[in-house]
Amino acid sequence: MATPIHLEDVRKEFSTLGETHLAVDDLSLDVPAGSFATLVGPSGCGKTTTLRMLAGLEIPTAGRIRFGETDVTDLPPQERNAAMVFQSIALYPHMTVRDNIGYGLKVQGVPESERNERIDDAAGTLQITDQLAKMPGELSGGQQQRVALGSALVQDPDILLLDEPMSDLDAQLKAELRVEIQHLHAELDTTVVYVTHDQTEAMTMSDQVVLLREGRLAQADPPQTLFDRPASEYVARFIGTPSTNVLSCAVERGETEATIATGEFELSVPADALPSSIDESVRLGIRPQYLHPGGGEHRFEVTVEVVEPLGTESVIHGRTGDGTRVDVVTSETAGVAPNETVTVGFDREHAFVFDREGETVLFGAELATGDAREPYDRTESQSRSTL
Amino acid sequence: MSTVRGVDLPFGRFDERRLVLLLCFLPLGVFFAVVWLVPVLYALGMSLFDEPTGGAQFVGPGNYIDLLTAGEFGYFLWNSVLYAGSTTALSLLVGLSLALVVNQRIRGGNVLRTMMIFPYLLPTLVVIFMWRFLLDPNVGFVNQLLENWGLIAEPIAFFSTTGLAMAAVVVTSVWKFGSFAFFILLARLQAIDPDLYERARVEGASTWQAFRDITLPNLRGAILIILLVRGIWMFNKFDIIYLATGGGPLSATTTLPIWVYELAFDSIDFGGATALAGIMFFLLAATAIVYFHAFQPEREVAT
Repeated sequence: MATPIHLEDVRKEFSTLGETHLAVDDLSLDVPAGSFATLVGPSGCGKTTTLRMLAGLEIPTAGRIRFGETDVTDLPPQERNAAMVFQSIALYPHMTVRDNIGYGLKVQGVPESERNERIDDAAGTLQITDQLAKMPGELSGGQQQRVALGSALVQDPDILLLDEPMSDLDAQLKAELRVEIQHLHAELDTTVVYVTHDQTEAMTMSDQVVLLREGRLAQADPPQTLFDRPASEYVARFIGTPSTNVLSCAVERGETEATIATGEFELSVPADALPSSIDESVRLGIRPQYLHPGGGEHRFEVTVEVVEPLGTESVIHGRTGDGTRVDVVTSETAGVAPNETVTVGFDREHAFVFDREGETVLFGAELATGDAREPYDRTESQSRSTL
Repeated sequence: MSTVRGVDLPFGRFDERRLVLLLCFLPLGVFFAVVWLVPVLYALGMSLFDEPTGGAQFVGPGNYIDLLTAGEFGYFLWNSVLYAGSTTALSLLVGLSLALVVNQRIRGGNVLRTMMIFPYLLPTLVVIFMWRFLLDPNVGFVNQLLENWGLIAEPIAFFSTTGLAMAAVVVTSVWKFGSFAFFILLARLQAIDPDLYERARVEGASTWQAFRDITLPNLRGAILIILLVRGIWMFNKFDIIYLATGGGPLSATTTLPIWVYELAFDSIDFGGATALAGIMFFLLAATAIVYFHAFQPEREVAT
């Protein structure tokens, strides 16, 4: 039975040699039953620590963790119906694949005939039936990964925890397994929490992406919301490849209008659209996919440094006049060569405006439709994220 | 196509590459022949003669028959097996327990690890002095402690009481040689991926189950090698027993190596001494062959 997960102000501190390191800082989060949530962020952001607290391998310093109605905060791992796949894969090297998959069932006292039936089922699903008699050392990386997945799902867990399970695989295998994990999730009645530093994995697989920054929640939303309405510059830059371009702009306020401008373009917005906390400068975010050579309402010049062809489209890496890095994703690369200058432009509905702290204060999409801006509310975003 | 010059011989081609190999092996072969093969064969040869150093007289298997039919043989063999078996088993247990403790990364674990090397570094003579002093009936610390606790009424002379001398020698030996098992097992324990234990916990395994299913299988090869090597060494051990008790009291600690010494230097019966050494060699060789067939420890170590 899939179980919802609730984290309330969960905090984890590690002390080493008298120094306290805060790994997770008052994290609150709800993962609905049966959904697929991904914890994502750069290394050291607390995502693995959070997962280990869900598994029971770490005990929170403060806060509560509930699986459904059960408070599991202080329960040992053995008493939670959760299965986990480790980053190191962690197959028992001295046991056959069959024994590896069945070990959890064995220690829980499942009789051998039932055990074998469930192992065969799981192996069939993961297409490793031929490998059951082998030792883990004889398998390829992708097969080992499948065995690790098999030993997790054979236990029919309420909650399946995956700690960067694909970090050691090559790109092609990753893409394959990504699809398979989604198939498995669709078949299984289990809540999945997946940890990765790879935003592509997070975006492609999740119902909900939880982006962490230095132990704090940066944003928790469905992938598309995270992409379209990033709560901060940090989120905008982390989600999406290549990373969002950010330009420093000056702000001039008039009676009814405010102008956001660099030396090359001006963007007029209603004066009340910018909160009063904004003084002379803002940062403007535009995704590389929304910059068009020779097109767009607002244009500026970019000196091309490198062009990466990707087949149907290319990524142009360049710099603006003041040296800010700008990436452009486009299929129109005629006449674009290193050290040449191209004029690129964007439409206002694709711009994000960030304040000095990096919070998003304005989404261009709202300007374009002419809707009065509603302040972006974090708590609202979170409650929406619980689908 | 080989461009190396050579001649074809009935058993294969002999060329420069093989010549170099042969030259490299030659010193090793000579070394082994001189320090190992020749003395062993010489000793085995001696064991077929009566008074081999003086008026040597060929007696064939006579020395062997004399020894095997002597009344003491069974008793001394039993002493040897008892001594080798108990010291090996106990030093394995002590080493394993301490290695498990140190592997838990407890406070002071590093200090304990460093201290474990000292018994091994101390000369046997010093170890004997220390334990004879500790177990001394007049000034010994152990006797004082036991008396203070009211466990014994009279001090006990451990090394010179027939029923206790073997135990005292065993304790002394385990103290000195326990760290051998400790270091091998600790190294092996530290090579086990800690994620395996975490995975086992998440899968529902208790501490005991994790020990039985992860730790022990990973240590199996090391344990088998320790049992074999330590067992052979302890079976042949001479110095620690001879220095502690001289084989006494009343032959209570006389093992086969001590008997070899007595035959050779007390009875000046070199024929008997070398025959006994031969018997020990064959006993150990037979045990080792059976052991390797039964457990295949070398395969465990290789994986």
